[in-house]
Amino acid sequence: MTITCNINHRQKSLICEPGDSVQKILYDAGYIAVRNSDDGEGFAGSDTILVDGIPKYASLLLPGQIDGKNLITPDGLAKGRTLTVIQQAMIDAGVVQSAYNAPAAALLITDLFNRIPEPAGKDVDEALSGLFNRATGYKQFYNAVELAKSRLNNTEYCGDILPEFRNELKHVGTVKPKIDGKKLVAGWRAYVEDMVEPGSCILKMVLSPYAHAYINSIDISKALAIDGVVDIITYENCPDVYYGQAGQGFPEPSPYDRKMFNKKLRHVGDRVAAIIAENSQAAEIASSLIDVSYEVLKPVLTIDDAMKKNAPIVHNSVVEYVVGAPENLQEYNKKADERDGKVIYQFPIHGNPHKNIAASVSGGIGDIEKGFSQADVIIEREYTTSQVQCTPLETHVVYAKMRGDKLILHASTQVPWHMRRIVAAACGISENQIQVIKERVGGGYGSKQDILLEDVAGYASYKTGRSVFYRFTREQEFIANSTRHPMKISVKLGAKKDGSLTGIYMNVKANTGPTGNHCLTVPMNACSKSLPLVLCENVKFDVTTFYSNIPPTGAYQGYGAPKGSYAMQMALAELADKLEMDPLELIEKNRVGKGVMLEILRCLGEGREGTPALIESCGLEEALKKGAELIKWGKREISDSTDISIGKGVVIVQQGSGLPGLDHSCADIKMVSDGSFMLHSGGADLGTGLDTVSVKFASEVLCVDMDQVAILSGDTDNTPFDTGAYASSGTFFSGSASKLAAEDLKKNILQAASEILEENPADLILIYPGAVKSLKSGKLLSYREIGHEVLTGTGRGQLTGTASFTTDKSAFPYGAHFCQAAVNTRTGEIKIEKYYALQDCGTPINPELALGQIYGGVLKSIGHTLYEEIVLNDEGECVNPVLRDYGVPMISELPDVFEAVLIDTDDPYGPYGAKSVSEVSTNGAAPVIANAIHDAVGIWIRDWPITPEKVLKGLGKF
Amino acid sequence: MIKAFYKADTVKEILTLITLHDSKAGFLAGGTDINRLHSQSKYETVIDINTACLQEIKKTDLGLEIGACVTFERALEDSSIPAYLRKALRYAGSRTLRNMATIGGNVALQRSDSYLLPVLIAAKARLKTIDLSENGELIEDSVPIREYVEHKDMFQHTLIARICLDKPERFAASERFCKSIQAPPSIVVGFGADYSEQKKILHNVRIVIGTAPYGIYRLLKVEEAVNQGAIQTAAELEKAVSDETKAISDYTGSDKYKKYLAGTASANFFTECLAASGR
Repeated sequence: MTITCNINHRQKSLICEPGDSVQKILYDAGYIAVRNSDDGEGFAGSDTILVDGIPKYASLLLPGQIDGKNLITPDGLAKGRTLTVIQQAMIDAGVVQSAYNAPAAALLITDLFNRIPEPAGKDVDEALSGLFNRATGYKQFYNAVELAKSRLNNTEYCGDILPEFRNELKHVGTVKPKIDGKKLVAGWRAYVEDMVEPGSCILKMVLSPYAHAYINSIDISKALAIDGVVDIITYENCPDVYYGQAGQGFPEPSPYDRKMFNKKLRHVGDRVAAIIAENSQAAEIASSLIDVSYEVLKPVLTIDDAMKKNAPIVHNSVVEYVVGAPENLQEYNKKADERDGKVIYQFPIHGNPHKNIAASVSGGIGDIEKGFSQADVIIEREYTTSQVQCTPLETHVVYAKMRGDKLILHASTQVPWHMRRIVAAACGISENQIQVIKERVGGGYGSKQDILLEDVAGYASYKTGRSVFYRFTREQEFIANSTRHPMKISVKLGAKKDGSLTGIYMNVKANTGPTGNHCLTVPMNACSKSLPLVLCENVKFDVTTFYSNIPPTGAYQGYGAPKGSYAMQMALAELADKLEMDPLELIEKNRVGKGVMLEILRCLGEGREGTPALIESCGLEEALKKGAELIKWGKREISDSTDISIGKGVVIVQQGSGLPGLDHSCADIKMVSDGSFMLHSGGADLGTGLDTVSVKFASEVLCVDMDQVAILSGDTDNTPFDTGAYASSGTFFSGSASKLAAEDLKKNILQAASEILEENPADLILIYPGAVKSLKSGKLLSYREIGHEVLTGTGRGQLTGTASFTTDKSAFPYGAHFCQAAVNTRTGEIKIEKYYALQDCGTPINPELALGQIYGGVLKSIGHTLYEEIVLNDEGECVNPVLRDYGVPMISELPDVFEAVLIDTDDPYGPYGAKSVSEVSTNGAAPVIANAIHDAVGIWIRDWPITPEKVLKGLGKF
Repeated sequence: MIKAFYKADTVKEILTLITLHDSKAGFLAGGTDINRLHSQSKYETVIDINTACLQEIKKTDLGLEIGACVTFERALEDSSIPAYLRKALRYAGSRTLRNMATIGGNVALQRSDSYLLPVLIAAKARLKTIDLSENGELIEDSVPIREYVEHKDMFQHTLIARICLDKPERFAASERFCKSIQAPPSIVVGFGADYSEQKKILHNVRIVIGTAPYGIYRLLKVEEAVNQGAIQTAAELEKAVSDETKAISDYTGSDKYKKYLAGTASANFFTECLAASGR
């Protein structure tokens, strides 16, 4: 059928099928800001358009419903390259980060202003109620609206004033537009899907319907015969190469326990066959013609299941070690089943796959028994956490193509170089035959640290020579993507009557699912980010990670810390309760501070011996003081309703800033002939503003405006190496590399200028805006003159700077979270009335983006605490694999009062005093909400999510 | 897979088309369900019923009539919509969704998590329906909404034209229990009653439950017990409702939890109803 409509004030005719989704039609017609985040669920709002002036979900609409209508799409807002006031306000307020549906948000806010010229907060709530935002937690949308209102009305801005830091610096610590904000909010081409060329193939994955099974046989002959099917890859014809999907530094602590396709299937949604086809219809038909015979096995779904004496073995594999194999390995492997393949450890991590143990580690300091014997009070509790999902707005996606003999991967990734290494290994080619180009990332949060689809799409393209596009469906995001490891954490605390801790024992049991993705490091992180928060001479921990048949697990913002923090901070509150102490007093009594040497870190390295670290900056004291004032700590709040009780909680949190001794970042920068600069950073900007950080650093060093520094990042052929954006490493590592490269260039500029001016370099300085000045002669030489002079045929050649940044120094971000929760004792409902997150991230390089990441991190963790959960049935099938059923928080779930506060510290090791910010903010919500609930109604809820049902059960209502 | 789309200009055209395409055809009002991921609708032909006459909200001598194609958001903008319905309309937490979802569509879908059905049944709403006779004439009828729900198979090709709220004095309320505002509910509870000034009792009580997989159903025995005076207190009602509610354990909560919520919500409404009636 052909429909005609007016799109963005132009008449358009579109050819389509009656059952097509309008979202797809519009995207294919070039309106690329009408995006798909939910496969037509009508929930996330990335597909929002205006139909005759009314916001609607395009994916729910049929073509016939827009025939003859006037449509406005998000990409129709900007006039050419000029943003609207609203779009610019969104950038300035800090809400444009990963930004996959920022254009849709701009459209909704534009509609809001069209309806209500002076919108209030409740109007913003309504306008954005149908938009899911994972990155920035909605809060700054109110600021954006206030900012737009003031600019539209030419009146004074009435919203929150964004803080700025380091007045002596020009760019660092100031609020400056994110350098990619314009193209993201306007909806221009930016993401992987926008790079797909006409004629490309699609990859459709046939998924395992069983959680645990062997493939007895697979027949693809009928499917291969379908017109349009290019190739089909299965375990029978895939490369015979074992690897892991965890994007970690080599050699990885995660085992290599899978091939591209495996005879044994280990979770519902596991790969059975990849169909490469010229169109989706052919792929669909082919998928129905693949004949698979399965031997179905009993699945292992929980830690308790995995630990049982005669539990089914998830990896009854041949175990190998690259180094450090135990002497009895040959004997051990006699029990292996060849159908299970191999588990290859790069080095020992104390796994025992035949007992479903993927990894284990123990450690501690002091004498734990002595510690407990010295205690006046001992408590021992167990806390459990569930499986939650990153839910980025942009699902996992890759576009692979060949250019001559080179495989090019347009990727949405946090780890371009790990991806190149893993895909090269999987394809059996050298790394220089692959180019990974990191496009803009529409949300990662850890799950895009793993190589979940690039290996198979890359191999498919390499094998067939065809361009291949592979995008996870939203359901695949839930069943075939990395999630948080479910954990059971026991904490035993011993303390004196005055509250001082004498002993801490933490026993972490984690469920890693079908593979050992991050199986050692995530559970260890539960210890390494919670134990060093308190002073105690006697500490012990045990960590054991179990294989199972749940959906895969891996990295998620916070890594293991949110779970460790939940257990440790709740245990502290329970200890305070037992001691009849104020929990804030107990925290103050035991918390770390500046100058403390963290000996415990010696035994908390990632698969190697760790290094004790000195705390050089710590904002905990100020954070706790300010937070207590904000929430009126100690004042009992009384509700008007007899059904509602109100309580308060407090916790402290920490994270790291990258992985000292493991992470490595490089950058180079060159002066262009007009005196401007081209910066090449290996860093992978996930939308968090890392590119802006790098440009700020270079501009600061080189004394120029930010528009004088262009950046290319995350391109394995054209930028230098970087381990990637994970473990809160971006600003600290990649940013430091950019800063050092600029400083290297600065030296070379001064040297070149000294030759041109015939003066001593020591007498020369750089001055704003982009010139060299002689302190001796007073002469000025502009960068333009230098840039031209060095490239004239007689000059010294292009001026460049390079850097390779590594360190063994740590910079720990800290924070204090305070919460006020109202609990309805009749219905069990929990309302977060107030939430204050006070974060010490050193110098906030981009204050508005830092705040957005705190709001986003906190709201994600509020979601995990109260609403979100992947629920499996007894067969291991996920019963709620859509966003609404899974329970992501929307703007309606914001706390009534929600405030992020940046605590100013200046770290000596961080670039310009910076530490990390995003991950640390996810560590507080679960324990602080649980503690506030206890304060309200007297019950401890020791497993998340904390649902109304659990509250009611705790209250003995049924 | 939808293979054909028709837009009809008149009610007669709508009903003629639906008759012509029979069981493979369905009405399209707002379109929040037909093209939705995991939709249970499997129509090959859809007929867009958005004609002007189905989009009015008007007060008549008999009460308030809401056109079937009135969207949730449009209804919320109309001050004549009673408070209990406004509250239920807001259970659809997304304004974008409310811009699309229609009142008639929500009634016709009869989902167990229906935003509106529990309270509309509790309010004793009526549906103005239109059918096409064998000789091509339009047949209008006024159907109690409970009858429409109880005998849904009989109304497959019946067009809901309007929803009529003709009992302004009646107490009606509903509560939807979800983890978050847009999450699927564990249970939806509707309660409606009239108050007899003369006898100082509640009568014509309706208690409506919505929960998967049982759909929307009434607690007839409990209603009868209240009407007969066998249940006189909120506590008695809470226990009776909890006992009579059918529910299963699923990812939205356990059966016990749902039964508890049904009981406590009903008891709460009972108390509210008496308070609103001045007792």
